[in-house]
Amino acid sequence: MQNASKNLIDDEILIGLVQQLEQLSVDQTEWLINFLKQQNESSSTIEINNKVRSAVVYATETGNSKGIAERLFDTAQYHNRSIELIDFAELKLRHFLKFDQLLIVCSTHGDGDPPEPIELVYNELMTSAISLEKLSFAVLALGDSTYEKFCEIGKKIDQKLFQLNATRLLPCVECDVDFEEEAKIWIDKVIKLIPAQTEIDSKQAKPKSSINELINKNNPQTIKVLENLRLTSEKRRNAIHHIELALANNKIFNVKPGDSIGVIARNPSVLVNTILKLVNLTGNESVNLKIGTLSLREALSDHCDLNVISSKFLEKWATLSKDNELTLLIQGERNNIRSYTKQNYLSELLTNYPAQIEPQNFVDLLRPLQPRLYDLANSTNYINDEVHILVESYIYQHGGREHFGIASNYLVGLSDEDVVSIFPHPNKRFHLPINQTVPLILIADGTGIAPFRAFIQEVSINDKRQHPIWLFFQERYFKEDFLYQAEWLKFIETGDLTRLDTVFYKDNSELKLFDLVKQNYSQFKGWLNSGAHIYLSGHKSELELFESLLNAGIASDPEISSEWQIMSKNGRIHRNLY
Amino acid sequence: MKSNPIDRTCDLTQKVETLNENEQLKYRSDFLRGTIATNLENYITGGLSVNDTLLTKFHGIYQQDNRDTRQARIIRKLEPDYQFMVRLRIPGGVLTVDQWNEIDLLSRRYSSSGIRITTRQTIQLHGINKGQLKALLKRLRLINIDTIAACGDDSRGVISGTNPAKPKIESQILKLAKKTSERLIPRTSAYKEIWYDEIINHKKMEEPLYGKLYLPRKFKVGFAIPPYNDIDVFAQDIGFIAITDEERLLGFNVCVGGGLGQLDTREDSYPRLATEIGFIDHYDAPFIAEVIMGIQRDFGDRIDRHRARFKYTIDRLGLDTFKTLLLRRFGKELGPARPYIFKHNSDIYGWTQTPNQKWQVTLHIQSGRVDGSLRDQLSAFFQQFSGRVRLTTNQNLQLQNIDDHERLEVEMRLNDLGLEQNITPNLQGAHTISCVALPTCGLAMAEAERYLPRFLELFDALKNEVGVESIPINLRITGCPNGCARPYVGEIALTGRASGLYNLYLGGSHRGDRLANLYRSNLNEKQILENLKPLLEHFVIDRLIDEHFGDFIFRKKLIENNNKFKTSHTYQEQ
Repeated sequence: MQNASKNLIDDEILIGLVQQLEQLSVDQTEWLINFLKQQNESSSTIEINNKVRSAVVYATETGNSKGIAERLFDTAQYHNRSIELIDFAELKLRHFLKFDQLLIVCSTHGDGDPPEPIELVYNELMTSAISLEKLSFAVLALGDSTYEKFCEIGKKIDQKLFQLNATRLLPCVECDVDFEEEAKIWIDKVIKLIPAQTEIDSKQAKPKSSINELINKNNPQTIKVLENLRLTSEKRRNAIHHIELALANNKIFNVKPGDSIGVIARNPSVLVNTILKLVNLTGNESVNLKIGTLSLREALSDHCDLNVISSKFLEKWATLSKDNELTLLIQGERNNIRSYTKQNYLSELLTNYPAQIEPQNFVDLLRPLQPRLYDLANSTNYINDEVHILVESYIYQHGGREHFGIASNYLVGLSDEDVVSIFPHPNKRFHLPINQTVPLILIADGTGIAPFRAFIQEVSINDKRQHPIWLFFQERYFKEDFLYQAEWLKFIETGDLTRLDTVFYKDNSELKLFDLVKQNYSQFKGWLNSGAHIYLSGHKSELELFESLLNAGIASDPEISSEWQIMSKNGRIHRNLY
Repeated sequence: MKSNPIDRTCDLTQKVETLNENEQLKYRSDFLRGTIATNLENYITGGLSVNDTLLTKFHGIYQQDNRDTRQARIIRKLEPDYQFMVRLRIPGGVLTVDQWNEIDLLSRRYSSSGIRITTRQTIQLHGINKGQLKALLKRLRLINIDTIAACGDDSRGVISGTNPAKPKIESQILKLAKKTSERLIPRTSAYKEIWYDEIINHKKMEEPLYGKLYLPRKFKVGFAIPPYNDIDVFAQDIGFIAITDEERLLGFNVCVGGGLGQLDTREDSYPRLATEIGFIDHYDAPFIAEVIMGIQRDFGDRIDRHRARFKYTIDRLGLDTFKTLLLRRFGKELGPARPYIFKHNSDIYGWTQTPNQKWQVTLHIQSGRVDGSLRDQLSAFFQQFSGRVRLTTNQNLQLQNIDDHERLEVEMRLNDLGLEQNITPNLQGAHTISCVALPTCGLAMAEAERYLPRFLELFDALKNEVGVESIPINLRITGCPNGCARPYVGEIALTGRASGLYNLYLGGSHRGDRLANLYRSNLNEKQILENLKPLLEHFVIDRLIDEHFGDFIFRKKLIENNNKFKTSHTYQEQ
């Protein structure tokens, strides 16, 4: 092992590493060994895939463009060229950066409108100013010459890509409704431009980047928000957002499906202002925190918990305010103190018992703002340079007022291009099973479905993983709250998801999650008998109820009454409850 | 008999594998079952599989989605907001008040946009969720209404015209229309199995008339009673024109091969008016309809779906060959066509007394849409009404069989409910039809029903300005070239090309017996009005007495006959 290392790792670095290793405790060393093993499983390290990619992309309304694209794709395969076939509608603007070569077949709808499915990405592209220097392209435009704006969309895409510094491989070809002949000529031309399989691979053998920076809780990464999508309807107050974040390629961000993402949230500026006003400070005062000197406003906004009162703070505040009531409270039973801190917010304490405090003293006494954990919603093998999370805006009543959860509303309020600090948080008990073929029964309540998206994505691209997957899902309304519905339907089509059963309790209040098991009991039993692992993810009360019903159900069935114990013992039940 | 051998290279004599995909789907569908029953139970999608959506059309059910929310739902990672349009089968368009009241209730419970009266004299309910289809169809069954063959490659709802001067004949023809519909609809027990949950031991051959392939395309049959051509008889695959004396129905002139749909992209695609082929006794109507449909079944194009309508079959076979086939199958010669006169193809407005001392009145319904307050007004009215309800092919509602002594009361009640404006509608509005188009129709390229009120206002203003406000002009607006609102028989028609752009057709007759021609392509609203203005001004100056706009355009040769199909129908000039 050492010999091997010597060959691979530069001496200086190795010495440094060994010195650092010696400082680790036994537990820490063990963790590190596990960690390095995981690295080897290849499912954890994020690397930007730098392979040359060529794709034929079709933008279609009636299927003609798709037909031509498929013909090109088949011909390319036949000639052993390496190419992907992609629906333009599935692309996002940022994906243009990932390709080296795009062969675009594009129709025009009506008088110069894009085919409806591509409308979104088309508009994005047209208003974009990204640089596509790496990209080369060719466009085959389909149209109908009885319209004034003939082949408009194909032409516009051609011009726009050229403007964005991409290289034009061939002049844009315009075809009328009798496109067959011209399409054939075009295919024959472009096919020669697609690099052969082997050519690409040898050209791509780039050296791996050297030492990468490890991201963890103590070294969070500040990254860009790519997209913040509201998945639920406008009418729903507790909106659920799907947020996509960009990873940088020179850092190690270790996550695998089942893990969480720690998010360092910020307090809303309204709250910071309220608190500053209550303690009669401007916010411009300097304070020292572990990370250095910064303004009080910044400290309060980014580093201090402005909601929860610690007992330490309460005691100090009683002294400062010299209030009798408060003094009595802290001298009394611990239970009373606890119930006070539980029922009151910092702003309420400061309002009811005003006092003066030094800025430094204030930040020292406040609880540090805790990072919040959100389940990773994608497999980083499936989408290799992004992490996704699913966030439900938390709104609750307290003391007759409405309160907004700090982290969830901070995230939901992020705009594209905002930055956010995150780190990976392992959740080992909730990983995919070691056995790569056992069936998986995934039970999701609401946003609990996020890790299952990561699971299924992972299974879909990992050829070794052959799990039959049965997903149960519960939300409010079928039409509005079926989180990731379009993706599940695709996974069912490709066979990566075996079965999906749902409860929408606002559509049908009679149906409960456990009824889905009852209705399909014999099949469910069959899955358990084949060694299925059960994953429960989502709100604690809901899923504990589900689990107890399931447990009772199984216990009353003599054929499998002992199965639950065996499952628990063998670690076949996994919980991710909050 | 000497004749050229018939070209059979594209009909059902060819191997199924060589026919177009729709034909193969029908063939494999086990008489329209497909996987509909299974997919209705699939609760993770609000839609059906693509193949099943083609099959449900034969059951009168169209899958659609709300196109207004399509893009937003893609972003939200949701499937389109799938919903279904259910088209009822009401041959002849006559309903009892109880039936109307129940449809009203069902529309409130299941439909997202009320009731829509169609240009084929029936009712569509839009925005039905998949999970509610069965319940809706079972409820309709309780009022003796089904939806069989309301869409699909089969005999669509049979339509039947009006003639208030001859109520007995109108009733007689209504019965014939129903009888013809019963005779021509598919027999498969799939409908009862899927929608009514009935278990049926079906015979081996479920479709003695259709066979496994059904028809190559839709097939439309209609009856008109001169002098009214309200049903646009020349737009039907088979049109029956009633020949009567004062008292009795003598028989029908039969015309064949009408059809308005066309594709803008194909030269060999065209609207065609039906050709008159002769006279038959009235009792032969259902039988000859079956025979003619059989010829279309056997000789229609099953490879090129765009050329599959009966009009192309006739043109491909040649009229003589068709007549020979008909003679052989019908068993007797048709008599020579008899004379008749058509006056117009719109509805009869106002109160009309029939010879049997009854009254009828037409309520104009814009775009046939009965929703919101109009639905409530009608619902209140129908709480006490002892007559019957007739849906018209101009998307209106007719109240019939009103006793003389009740007339005043009915009139007062209509007035009290604010329905008098539907009895005396805006003149131009009463001669304007639109199709549904956006947001539910998958074919629409431009707005139609939602655009109609605005365009009507502008067009009325133009007519006022020019001074032709008292002359009704048949105006049609459609969202695509397919012809749902019968644009190609309009005096003025706009057919959608793209959002806000229309092709302008002119010169159809006011009687529906001459096709309109393409005047200009791809016009926006401003250009449409700019093009119409000088023509209307010219019309004011050079108009003959009682001449209609379409006839004027035609007489003055203000438009070239550029129809891809040169019609062989001889127009009757008045």
